[in-house]
Amino acid sequence: MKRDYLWMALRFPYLPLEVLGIDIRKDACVIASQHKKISFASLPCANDGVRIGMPAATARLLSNCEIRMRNPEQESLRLTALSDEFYNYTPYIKTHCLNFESEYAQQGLLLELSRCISLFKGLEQLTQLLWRVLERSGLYYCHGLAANSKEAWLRSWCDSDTREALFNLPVEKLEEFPDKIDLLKKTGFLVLGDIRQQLKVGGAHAFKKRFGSDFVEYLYDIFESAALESEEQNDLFSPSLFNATPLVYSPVEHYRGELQFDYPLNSIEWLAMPMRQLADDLCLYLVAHQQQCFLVQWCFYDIYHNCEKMELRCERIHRDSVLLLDLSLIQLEQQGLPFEVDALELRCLKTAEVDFVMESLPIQKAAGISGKLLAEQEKLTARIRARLGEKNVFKVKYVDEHFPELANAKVEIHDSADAPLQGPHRYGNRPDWIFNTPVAIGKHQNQLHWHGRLHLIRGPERIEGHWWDSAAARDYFVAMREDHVRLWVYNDLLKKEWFVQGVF
Amino acid sequence: MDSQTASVPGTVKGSLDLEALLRRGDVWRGHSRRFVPCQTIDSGHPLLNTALVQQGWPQACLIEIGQCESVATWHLFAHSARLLAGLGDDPAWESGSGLIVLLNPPATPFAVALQQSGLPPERVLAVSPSDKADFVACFVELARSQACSMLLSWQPKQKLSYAELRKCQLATHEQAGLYVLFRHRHALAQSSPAALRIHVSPQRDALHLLIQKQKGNLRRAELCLELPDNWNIQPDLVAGTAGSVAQHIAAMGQVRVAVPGRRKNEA
Repeated sequence: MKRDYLWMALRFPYLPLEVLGIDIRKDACVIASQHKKISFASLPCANDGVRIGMPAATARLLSNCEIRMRNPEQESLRLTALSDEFYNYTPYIKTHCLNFESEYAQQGLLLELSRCISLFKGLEQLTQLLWRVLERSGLYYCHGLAANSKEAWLRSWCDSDTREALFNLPVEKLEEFPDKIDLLKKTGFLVLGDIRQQLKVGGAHAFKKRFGSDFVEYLYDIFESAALESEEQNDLFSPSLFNATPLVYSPVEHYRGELQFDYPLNSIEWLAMPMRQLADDLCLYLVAHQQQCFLVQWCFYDIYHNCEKMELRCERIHRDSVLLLDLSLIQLEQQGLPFEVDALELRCLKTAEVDFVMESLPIQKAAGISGKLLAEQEKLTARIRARLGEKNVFKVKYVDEHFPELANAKVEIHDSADAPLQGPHRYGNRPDWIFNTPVAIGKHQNQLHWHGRLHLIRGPERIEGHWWDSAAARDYFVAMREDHVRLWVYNDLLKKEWFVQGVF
Repeated sequence: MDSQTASVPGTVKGSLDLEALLRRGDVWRGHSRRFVPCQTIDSGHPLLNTALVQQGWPQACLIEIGQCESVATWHLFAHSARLLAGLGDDPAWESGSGLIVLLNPPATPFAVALQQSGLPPERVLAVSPSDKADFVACFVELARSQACSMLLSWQPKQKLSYAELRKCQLATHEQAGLYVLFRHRHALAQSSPAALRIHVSPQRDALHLLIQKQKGNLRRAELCLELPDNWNIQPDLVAGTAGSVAQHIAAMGQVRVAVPGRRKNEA
C-alpha cells in the first residue's frame, strides 16, 4: 500500500563558501567558476550588487571581494558529517546534489521523518532536535516540508509554507530539468502556478507530448497533494498504488582498536601477542559488519606519545586474522621498531562490503584444486610478497612471439599464465633457462668462446621476423661447452654476431 | 637432551622411550637401512630409483644437488613435478595440486621449456629474494606451507652456514613435499644436514650422478643417466664436417651455406 511520507529538505545555499571557512555575513568573498563567473557570493558582496553569473572581474570592481575556487571534496565531506549526525534521528537520508559539476548547483539533504515522529513524541520535538544539530554545524540553511522529496526541495525556496508560495516559484527552480526551463519560459510559463493552471484547464496530455512523460511525472509529484485536494486527476495524473521505500542511509564506520601496556615493549616478539589481539578484534568487527578491507594502519606510540605509523596493504582481510598478523609481523621485522612501544593502535579507516565470491568454500573445487588449498596458496603468496615485494614473486607466461626473449613474459601471480604453444616453439629445442638479454659470444681463433670453448651439436633452427620493426634473422644451435654444459646459442645473420641465450 | 633420551635403557619406560626415539624420521642410523619408511616419489629414471634407498626422491627432507652450472633441472625433476602437480598417470598422485616454487632461480625460467616438459606455468612460481636472510626466511615459509608441493631452490651468493641449512632441513619435515637445494659443487665438501646429497655433472653422452650422502646408506654410489634427446649430438653434424665450429662460423659469417637439416620457419 502507498503510505504517507513526510520529507524535510535542508538546502545549504552558502555551503561552498562556508566549507572554505568564510563568514558569509562578514567576509566579502565569492566563488568563481572555471569560466570566471560568479557562482556563489557572500551576503556583503550580494549587498554591493554582486549577482550570480556575473563576471568575476565585475564582481571585484563592485565590492573589492576575494575570489576563491570551489572545493567539492570538502562540501561532500561536510554533508556526510551532517548526515552522520542526522542518522541519530532518521535512517532515511539522501544527499541532494543534482549536478555537482554545475557552477550554480546548490546542495542539501533530504530527510524522511514520517516513521520517526512517534519515536520523538511529535514533529515539533523532532524538528527542534534537528534545528539544534544545524545550529551546531553553523551552516546557513533553508528548509521545506512536503509529502515527497521533490516538493520538499522546491518548498525550501519558498518564503512560507502556503500553496501559493509554491505556485509563485519561478520555473528556474525546476533544476532537475534544465533543458525544459527555456522552453517553458518561451512558451509563457514563468512560475509554477502557470503550469498548474495550464494542467488544470488543458489537461496533462499536451504537456506530455511537448515536454515528455518524465517531466510530467515530475510535475505530478510536485502537484500531487494539490491535485488530490482539487480533484484535478485524469489518466495521466492517477497516482500509483505503491511508492518506493526510501533508501536507508549507511553511515561510514571505522575500526579503531588500542592497547596500552604496563611498561614499554622493546621487541617484536613481545608485540606479537597484543598485535594478535587487535587483529582478532578487527576480524570480529569485519565479520559482524559484513565488511572487508584491503588496508590497515598500525600506530606505535612511545611514552611521549610520538607516533610511528605502518601501513599494510594486502589482498583482502575479512576473517583471517592469522594472515593479517603474519603480514604485519613480516613488515615490522623489515622496518624495525622505531622505539620502545608504550601503546599500540590498529586502524581500519576504509572498509567495503564483503565480497563472498572471493571467499573459497570448503567444498569448492577449481581446476582440481580444493578451496582449502587455494586459500592456503593465497596466504602463502601474500606472505612472500609482503616480505619481498610484488616484483620479486612472479610466474612466466608464453607469449605468441617468434623471438624467444619476447615469447617469455613475467606476469603477476594473479594473472593467468596458461597459453598454448604456437609455431616453432612447439617442437624446437628450448632451454630450461633463458637470458632476457642475449649475451655476446667471443671468438678466439675462429672458435666460439663463452666461459669455455663451444662446439655446436644440434641445429640450426632459423627464427626470423619482426620485419615491421627491426628485421632480424637468427640461426639457433645447441652448443656443448668444454665442461659439457649445453647452451642455446644463435648466430645473428644480419649483425653477423653470435650470442648465447639460454642454458639447458 | 630431552626426557626421552635421558631415561635409563633397560627399564620398560626406557625401552619405550628408545622405541619412540627410533620411530623418529630424523635419527641417523648409518647404513643399516632399518629406518622409518618415509614417502618417496618416482624420479622418472629407473636407474636413479634403484640407487636411491627408498626407490625414489625422498619427500619431507632436504635434498642437495651440487653442480657447476644449473643444468638438467627439469630433466631430473620434471617427472616428479608432474606427479606432485597431479598431472601424471599415477592415480596415487591425483590429489596433488600444490605450487612448484623456484626460489632464487639462476635465470628466468623459460615458459616454453616448462610446457614442453609437461609442466603448467600456471603452477610454477618464481621467487627472487634479495639476500641470504630473505632466502632462508622464504625457504622456511615455503617448506612449511601445505600449498607448496615442490621447492627448487638455488643457494644465494652468500654461503649458507650449517645452522641455516639445519633450519631449512627442519622446515622440510613439516610437509610432504619435495625440497631441493642446488649448490655449487664445491659446497658438497662442507658438512650439511641434508638427507641426500648428489653431485650432478653433464658428460658428453650421459648425465653423471654421484650420490655422496644418503640416509640409510653410507656407501657412495655413481650412475649415469641418459641425456635428453635434445642434448645429444645431431648425427648429421657428427658425420659431416659441418659440426666443427670453425666451419659454422665461416659458413654463417660470410656466406649463407645450406647446412644439412636446416629448417626455415616462416615469420
